[in-house]
Amino acid sequence: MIVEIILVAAIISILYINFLHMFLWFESKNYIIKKNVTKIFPSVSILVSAYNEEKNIYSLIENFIDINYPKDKIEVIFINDGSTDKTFEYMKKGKKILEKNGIKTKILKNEERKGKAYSLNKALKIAKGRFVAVIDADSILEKDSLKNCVKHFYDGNRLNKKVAAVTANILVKNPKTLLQKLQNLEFIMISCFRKLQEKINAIMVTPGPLSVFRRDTILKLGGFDEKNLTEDIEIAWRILANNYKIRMAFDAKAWTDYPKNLKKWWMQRTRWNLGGFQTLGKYLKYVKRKTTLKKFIIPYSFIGYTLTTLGVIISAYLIFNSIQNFLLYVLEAMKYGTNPLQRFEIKYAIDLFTIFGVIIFLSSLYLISISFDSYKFLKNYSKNENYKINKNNKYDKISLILFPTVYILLFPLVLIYSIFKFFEIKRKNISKTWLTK
Amino acid sequence: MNVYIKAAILTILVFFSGLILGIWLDQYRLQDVKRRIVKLDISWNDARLLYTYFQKIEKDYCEIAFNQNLAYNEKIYKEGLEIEFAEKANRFTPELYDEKRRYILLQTQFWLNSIELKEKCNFTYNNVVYFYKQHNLTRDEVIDQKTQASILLDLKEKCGNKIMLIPLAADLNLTIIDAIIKQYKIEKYPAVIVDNIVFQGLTPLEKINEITKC
Repeated sequence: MIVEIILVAAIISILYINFLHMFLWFESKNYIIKKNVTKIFPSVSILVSAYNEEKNIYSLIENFIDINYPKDKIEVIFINDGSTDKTFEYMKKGKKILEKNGIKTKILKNEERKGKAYSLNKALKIAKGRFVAVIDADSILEKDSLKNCVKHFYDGNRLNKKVAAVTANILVKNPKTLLQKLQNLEFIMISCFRKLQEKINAIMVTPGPLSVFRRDTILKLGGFDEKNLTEDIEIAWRILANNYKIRMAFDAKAWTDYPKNLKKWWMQRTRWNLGGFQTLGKYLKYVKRKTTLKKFIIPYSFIGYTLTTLGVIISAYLIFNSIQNFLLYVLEAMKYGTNPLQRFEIKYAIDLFTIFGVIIFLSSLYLISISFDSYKFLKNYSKNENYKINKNNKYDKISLILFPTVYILLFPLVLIYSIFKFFEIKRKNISKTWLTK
Repeated sequence: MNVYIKAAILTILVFFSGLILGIWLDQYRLQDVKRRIVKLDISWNDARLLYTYFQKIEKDYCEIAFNQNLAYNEKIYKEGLEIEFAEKANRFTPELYDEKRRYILLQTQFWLNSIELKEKCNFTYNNVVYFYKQHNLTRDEVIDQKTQASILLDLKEKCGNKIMLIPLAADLNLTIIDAIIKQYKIEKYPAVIVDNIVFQGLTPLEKINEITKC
């Protein structure tokens, strides 16, 4: 009976989320790209926190020089977060190159690794731009990405004071391995759904590879949370908790490195989950206040985590139990001299849960097709295909098959691992312990 | 209307449509089981009447009755599998429980008829009755019952027409079954009655075959 209740709760939740996104798509598919080009170019400070990123600093600098944004309106602040390689030296050389190109550049240094949030807060204090763009050192921006992000802070030529952050369309840089191709598919979908969630002000994360914030608002809200493992999730929730808005620039593409192998992927996802738990725990009290957190994000996250966890536990129990029963039966039957498999037949009766399974599968397929449509739409719209990395940014047939059949099954598993990890690491030392690993 | 409400309305509509479709499917299977049992009931009555009629006119009825019995045994076994299949899938048709009881009663009638036929016509076949539990099973009982069923099917394959295999669910609240269980003092499942000899718990083929001698 408990299993049935959980199944019904899961069915209703998944159907609701799928239909919500479908309606969001119907209502906003014609507006996913903001076409009115603003001629306003406010000052932007680009903050880059880097730990052992010597390989990426130069390409990042080249990228900044190529950006379609008035150079005198850009300020770059590098923060060397206790790197043990030549990151700092490259930053210094990069500063000279950038300044030759008219881009003001500052370098900050942490003697020891303090974490991204600490570094960003340090930079926030000296940043001069009206907006701050947070960029990961391994990211590459499309030429118009910064401009496309900034325009979302404006309605026409007027600054919308309720918009505190704008996120970008994050994709995988040069996806070579199968895992990277699968992640690329995942991020294509995430970008589409994030754009749809903008309509209900429910963007749950301002991703590290590229997000732009209003500096004064972020300072007013207290900067980035240094105790949280995922400061990009936490700041998004804080923005929403204070009734500000987060928008998404679908045409602002940024490519970043994502894990090539399963071990690194697993670690990254565990960190994201742990940060998610921390954030959910911190903002659970907002369930009583009138914000999107109450309307959508807290129930969505809470139900999502709970049902996924219960689903994994129950499935694991049922699978283990049936395998164990089957093996015991085979052993006993053999002991009694009867062939256990001679009358084995697969006969499946369509029941209530099969019907719902089919409905959920079809609605999920429709959502996947929506995300590909939006991506194609963006490809047709985008004229700046100058970067080599764009050419590799395709999805192949194998990834398309493996994504819904194998890749997606890894998420509940990593969630369960994260829960164990969460209880293992003492909460007050959670950030430090994880960083030192 | 905002998207939250629209999504909620569509979720409710789709959920209840799925539910209605599920109920309709269950009802369809139930009706199918009912039809099958009605057919079984008719062929049972037909066989019984034929048997009575031949007895009345004192014709040599044994061979005909035996063949009828055998055909019925096969038929009732196949229908049993269909009921079991419906039982696994259905969630909204408690009436299926009563259909199962009707089916068990038909099986019991068949058994009693088989005993009578054997006595009157001096047949040498054995009535092998398999008692199993359907509810509140422990894991060991599930495995034992599956193994016992497999052993008995092996026996049927081996013996062919020399045995009548009759499976009976023991826990469906039927007074006749309760009386049989009491009479044979069955306490442990699975249980097998071969003619008048009772085996309780999982019984190997060799032990049963000591009586059936196939």
